[in-house]
Amino acid sequence: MAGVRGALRAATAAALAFCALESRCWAQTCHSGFTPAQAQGTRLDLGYTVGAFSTSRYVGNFESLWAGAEWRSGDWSARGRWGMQRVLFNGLQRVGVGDPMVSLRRALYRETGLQVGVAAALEAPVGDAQAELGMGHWMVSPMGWLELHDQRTFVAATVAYDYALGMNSLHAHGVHPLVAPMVAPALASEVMAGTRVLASLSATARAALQLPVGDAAHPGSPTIADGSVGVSWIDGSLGSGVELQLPLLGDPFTWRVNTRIGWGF
Amino acid sequence: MRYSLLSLTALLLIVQAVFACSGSAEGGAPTGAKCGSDSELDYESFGKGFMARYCVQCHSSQLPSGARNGAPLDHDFDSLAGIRATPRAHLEEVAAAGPEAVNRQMPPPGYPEPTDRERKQLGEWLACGAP
Repeated sequence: MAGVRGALRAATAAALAFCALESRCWAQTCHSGFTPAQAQGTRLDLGYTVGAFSTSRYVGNFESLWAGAEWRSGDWSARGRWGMQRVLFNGLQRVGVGDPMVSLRRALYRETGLQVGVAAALEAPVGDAQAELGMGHWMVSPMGWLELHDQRTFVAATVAYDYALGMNSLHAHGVHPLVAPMVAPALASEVMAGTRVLASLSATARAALQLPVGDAAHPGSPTIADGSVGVSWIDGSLGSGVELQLPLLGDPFTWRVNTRIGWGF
Repeated sequence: MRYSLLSLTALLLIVQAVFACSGSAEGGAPTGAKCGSDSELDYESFGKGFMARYCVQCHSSQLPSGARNGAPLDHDFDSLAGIRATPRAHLEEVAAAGPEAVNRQMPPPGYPEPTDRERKQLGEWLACGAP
């Protein structure tokens, strides 16, 4: 019985991992988000994000093809991601690399069905900000996370503090209005829930919220909220997922779709 | 637990210390252009022609969004009202010149470019309030 329960937990955990598609995407930039518990070892991912946006100033669309890797041992895990981006706004197309992201995570408390921990993520300004391919500054995101799950369902939540290094406290992008809705510093939180609907198929829903804080919390600073629904499939060491994100408040994207395929070993 | 928290805190502090000064200014700089008491530049004698030569290929209210080469939808310079609706400091910092700076961010590469004298005239005209 214990073996069956353990296998189910492992399957749930693995499904969680592939449910956790790109998180906390504001405009065309995705920050480090939730990465649920999974088996020990290494995982390689390929992901593709596509979306469209419309604001009072810009109309266009965006694509990103990225590769990621995650390594986990004991309570620690490390993750990295980098990719190519294409953005088209008001008839102008730009293609190039985006901002790479690395994160380090530590579980502080682990019991059956419950994990609590901390993490820190760092994004580097490698993408050309003038071309709308990157943020143009370093960004650090310390965060706390919590995960609850049983054999079929899970709930997970994070609270992060996004801080732009080397920038004014207000995220004054100036000529980069596509990402202007993102502000820093900001508190960013997401809550995600999911359930296995078939042995290898899970359905998920997620809500993400970004609140400007400190000097950024002046009148006019946007509060941004997105909602997402998705499904993921996992079979052995392979998994894949797709997620549709829709803006609820403040995000210029009219829709965004994240897909991902991964291999764990 | 104590060590992990200390490790993360130390990591953040190191990152902050290393990169706190890595930001760079975006866009141009204030030009310091002044409106001379003898300035004769106005929309008919300067602004209209300048915009027609260097700006309205992309910044025109007549262009659909897909034909603006990235120009924002709220930056239209085919009328004096459109120019005045755009923050003067923004126009100055992307295209104008003065004693303190010559800003050449606009027009983008591949488009006809104003001379420095024309950029100085733009700075002066904007400083006068774009009459």
